[in-house]
Amino acid sequence: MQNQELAGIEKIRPDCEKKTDEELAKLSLENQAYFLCIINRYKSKLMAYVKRISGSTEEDAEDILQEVFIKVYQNLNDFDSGLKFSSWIYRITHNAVISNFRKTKARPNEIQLDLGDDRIKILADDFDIEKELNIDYLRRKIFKALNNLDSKHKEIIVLKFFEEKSYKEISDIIKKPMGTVASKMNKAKSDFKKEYEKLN
Amino acid sequence: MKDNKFGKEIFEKIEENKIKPKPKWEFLLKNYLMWVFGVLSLVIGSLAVSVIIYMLRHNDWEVYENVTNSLLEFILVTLPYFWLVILALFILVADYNLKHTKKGYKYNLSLVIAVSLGVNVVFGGLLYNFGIGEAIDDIFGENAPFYREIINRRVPLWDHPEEGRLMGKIIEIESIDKFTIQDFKQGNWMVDAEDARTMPIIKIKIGEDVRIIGEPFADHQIKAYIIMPIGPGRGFLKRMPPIIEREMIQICPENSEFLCPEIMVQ
Repeated sequence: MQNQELAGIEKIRPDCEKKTDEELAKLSLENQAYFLCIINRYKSKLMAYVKRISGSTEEDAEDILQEVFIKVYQNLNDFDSGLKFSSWIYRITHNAVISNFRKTKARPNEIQLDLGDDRIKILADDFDIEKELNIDYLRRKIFKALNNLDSKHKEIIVLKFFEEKSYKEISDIIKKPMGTVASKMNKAKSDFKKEYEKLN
Repeated sequence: MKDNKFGKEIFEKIEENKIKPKPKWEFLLKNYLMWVFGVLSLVIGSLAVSVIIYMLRHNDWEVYENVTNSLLEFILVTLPYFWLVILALFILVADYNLKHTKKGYKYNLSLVIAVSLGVNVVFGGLLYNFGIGEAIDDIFGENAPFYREIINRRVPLWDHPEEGRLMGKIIEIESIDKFTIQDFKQGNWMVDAEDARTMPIIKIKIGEDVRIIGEPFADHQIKAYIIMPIGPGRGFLKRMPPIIEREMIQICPENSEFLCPEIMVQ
């Protein structure tokens, strides 16, 4: 691409912020510049998500994310307005991470400790575990227990407690029925509790 | 990650590899194809059900004691396993196709199995009423490889003259109570039907396919107690080589038009 054109694309349109994701997706098909709005809107969220479920380094996560945005661009016409755009883009990211695991035959690494004190307390409440007085100690124990979980269960917990997605959104992201999501969540919680208790 | 640098890199890659959004019709076509294959799987499942109904309704329930030692054994021996496996397989194929449509992932396997099975039973029943199950069994009986070994395990049950179960074609008639049938292995059996109960649908005539429940009493001679039509598996008898016809022509007396139907004259 000519540098001039790139410069034009980089210059985000002033009305970008006011547009919904769904509108941006539609507009991107007519004008590539709008796609940059989507990239800017989602790159930080998706970068955190990729690192959380794969434990990748910044560099690897960036590569995965590049692949994700190119796939999103290629598949813009497949976006179904009956679905939330964020669920759709998270689904593509979820698939890209899985296919990256398959390609490199690597297992997910340990997830990273990037949850605030309040969220840690909520998570401890939701998981019905005894709260430690020292929040850092509690955080370390929670993450250790989480890292010992099966990757599928770990991802459900990440989506629910880290990405703050609803069951409906999780169902759309991992393409499983809501009932399956609920039963996976219960299993994840009970496995987590067992792992947490082992650490005591 | 520098915002502009990251976006710029993506656009460079898009440009470099000439990537364009795939046209909408590609996605629509894939979605429709999945639906078409899903519906096709339901049709095949329904056809399997129509054969299952046909085989179960003509499963000789009234003579099971002559075939096996208990009802349970009879059920286990005569269940149409092949068609049940086909049915199960195509329910799973229907589920696979549904899961690959846009919103198919929302439905869990047990719901898909229940709905598919319901559709298969309703349409399979209708197809059976139109004689489709019977026609499919006949076609498979005539042409399918491993028919008696895999598709219809009921057939070999009637290949045991030593146990009093015989299936074959009438090739010679001495009288209404004494006739000869030829079995699968080209063996000829003299049948004494004096005390036999012959099912009304059976006509003792040359070329008629029959099954016999009885008792062997001498070499290649059997006393018949029950004479029944073939039912499922009758297409398989059509595979018996033309030796039968030749033999029938030879045996059929020249002036006996009563005992020799038109087919013999051809």
